[in-house]
Amino acid sequence: MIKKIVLSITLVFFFLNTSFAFEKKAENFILETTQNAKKIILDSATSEKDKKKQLEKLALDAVDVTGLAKYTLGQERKNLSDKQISEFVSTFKVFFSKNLSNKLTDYSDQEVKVISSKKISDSYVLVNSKIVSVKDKQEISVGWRVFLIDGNLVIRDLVVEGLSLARTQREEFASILANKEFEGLIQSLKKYIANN
Amino acid sequence: MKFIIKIILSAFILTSATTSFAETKDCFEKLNRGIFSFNQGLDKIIFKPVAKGYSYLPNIVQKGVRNVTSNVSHTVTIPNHLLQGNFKNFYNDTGRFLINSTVGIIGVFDPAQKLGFKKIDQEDYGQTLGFWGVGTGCYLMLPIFGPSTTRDAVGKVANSLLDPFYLTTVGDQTVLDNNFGDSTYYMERGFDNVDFRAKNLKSFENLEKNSVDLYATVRSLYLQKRENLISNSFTSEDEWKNFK
Repeated sequence: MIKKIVLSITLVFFFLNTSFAFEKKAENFILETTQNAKKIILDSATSEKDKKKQLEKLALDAVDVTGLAKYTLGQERKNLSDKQISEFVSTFKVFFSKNLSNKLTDYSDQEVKVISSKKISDSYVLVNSKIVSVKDKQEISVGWRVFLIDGNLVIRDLVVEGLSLARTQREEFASILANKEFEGLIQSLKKYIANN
Repeated sequence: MKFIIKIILSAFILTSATTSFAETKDCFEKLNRGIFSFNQGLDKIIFKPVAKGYSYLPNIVQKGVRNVTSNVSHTVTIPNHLLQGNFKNFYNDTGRFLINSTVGIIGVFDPAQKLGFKKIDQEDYGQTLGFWGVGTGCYLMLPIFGPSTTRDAVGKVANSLLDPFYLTTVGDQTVLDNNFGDSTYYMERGFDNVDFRAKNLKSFENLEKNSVDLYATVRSLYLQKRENLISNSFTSEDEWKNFK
């Protein structure tokens, strides 16, 4: 009887530990990624152009850009050929890295504090954080949707003050697809890439 | 005027009750995009420069302005807590309003926070209509006021006409002198909007720089924000769980 109780408790602790381990890993992954981004932004020895390149690389390593690209196509993905999807994914990758590095270079004096995390599924954790501005102490809530894909942790979405960046991007693209169709979307992305 | 009312009513009927935010139709997209361009022009020549100037004021002044306008907004928020049956928030915001209007000198300071009356999200009549199950209707871009929906536009009218602050300043000229009443109301509204614009100078610039379709981005952000406010939750529905 005692053996059974001990075994049950051990198993409960084992499962709890493995569950928390995933959440803890996701939290550490976010802290590490944001600290690396901050290091790049604050490095005075690096030129702005090189900083952008480094941030673009960091973004491509930390984010599941292929998954994100497919998500942003929404329902339209079903109507596209494999060739069109792969053309979109490769264009989106460049667009995304430039877009994110543009956004990140504007932030310099912020501290990221991980508040909590919640396991949504065996491969998905939502990490809640606060980004605090050192200058005026203003706080912004940011949620990170972290997934375990092929053994690697990757970010798929950022939820800033309750607003999902992936959903915003998808609805932006849906509008372009409705007005200019697939070719128009590719052209819009290429235009953005050329200008940045 | 009749024509406008007809458009609003038909938009309501066409897309009522079950419409969720994700399904909100942009029934007047061409017109909306035109008004959006007009608003952007206005922003460029009036609102942005004013907000930029305002942002140079000392932080303490800006905070005081924010506190006053936030305190005034309770006159709309409090009745809407009641209409949504949220008595806890009704008690909290009534306490905040009474303490900050008196001890906090018309809301310049926020002593209520220290006494345990927390600052919570504002409520309005558009949110109450949503809480009651009224559909969003069509997405609208209003001149000067910006993004809205047919339901929120109706709520916006109620926000003014049922607002005790509006009724005692603009509505009832016996409470305050004719001109003083009007100017008090419009100055408060003006400060509220300038403060909001100033607080978001960087974010707006970032949006303008990094959007491939700014109009669609603003529409998405507005609808997500309203969805969160109405459901009193911090994030909209998580669609990633089922993503393959």
